[in-house]
Amino acid sequence: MSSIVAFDVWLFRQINGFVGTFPLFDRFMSTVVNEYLITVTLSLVVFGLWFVGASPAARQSNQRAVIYAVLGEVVANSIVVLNNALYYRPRPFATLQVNLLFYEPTDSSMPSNPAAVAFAFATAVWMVNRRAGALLYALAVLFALSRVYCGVHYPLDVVGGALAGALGALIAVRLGRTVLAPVVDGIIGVGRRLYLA
Amino acid sequence: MRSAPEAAYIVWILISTVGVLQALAAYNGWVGLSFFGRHPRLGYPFALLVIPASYVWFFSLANRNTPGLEGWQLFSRFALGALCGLLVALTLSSITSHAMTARQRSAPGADERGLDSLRNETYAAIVARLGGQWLKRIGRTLEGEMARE
Repeated sequence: MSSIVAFDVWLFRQINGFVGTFPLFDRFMSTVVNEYLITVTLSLVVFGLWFVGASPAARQSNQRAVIYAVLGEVVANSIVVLNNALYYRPRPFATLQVNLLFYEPTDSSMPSNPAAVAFAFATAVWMVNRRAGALLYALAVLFALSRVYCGVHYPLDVVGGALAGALGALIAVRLGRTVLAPVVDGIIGVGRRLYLA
Repeated sequence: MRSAPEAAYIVWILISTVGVLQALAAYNGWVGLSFFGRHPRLGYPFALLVIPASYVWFFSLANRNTPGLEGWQLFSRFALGALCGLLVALTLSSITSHAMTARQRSAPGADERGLDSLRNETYAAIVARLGGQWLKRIGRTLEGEMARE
């Protein structure tokens, strides 16, 4: 266990150590790292997916993906909240000398909540629409990497967040296809009656 | 009253959602959702201009690497902004494409259900048509009851 943590700290130092090498890249990463840019871009892609589909059946499939993504985010967030109630890991800047390009969050470092949200979206969509899912995964990976680069998370935190997000999405898709299938169909049905689905 | 960062966030989402919807109107050929009537493909350059501009505007307003909205707040404000964006897009397109879609309403497929209806008519026209159908149905029901009495 201690060797894994030691490797995590070593990897963090390698990635965060790049700060200052390429000022333009630092600027890019510090723009990407906040709670707004990637999460809104992910959400806009998911929002747009509701209206896309070569046929009504394909569009309905994408609409299911949108509902799974929202549900997945709720489940992933619940996993993170539950974990934070049981376990606390200090942020890297609390114990190490880091190049910090972000403010100092106070909640647990492990797992990364932003990574959980991004990977929940990406996994839920990927299970229904591979192309859109791949795009969301690329954004999620960039978001997770930026959190380490800017000094707010250890690599293992974002891996934990990604796993929590993926698990949340898998649970959401499973629920959406079984127990909650009538609810999903109902939401799409109401949308269709309002000419919005 | 909402705080300035929160209001800016909602406006950003509203504007970018309108841009996304215009790109989708162009992609799907939904004249009834387009701001550009006969030329829905103009939605692509509109989106290319409006979406990045809204990002630049939001990030130039203030330093976003400070504590602000998070978690549930981000999600609920996004939903509010997106809903407002949808309403703005449906309202503006109903005004700008009204004459265009009025001519197309008799075209084949004009009675399609769901989003594809926007290929032939605006959302205002759909609401008016549905309202008319409901009024007729209510009228017929009342007539039937009066005849029974």
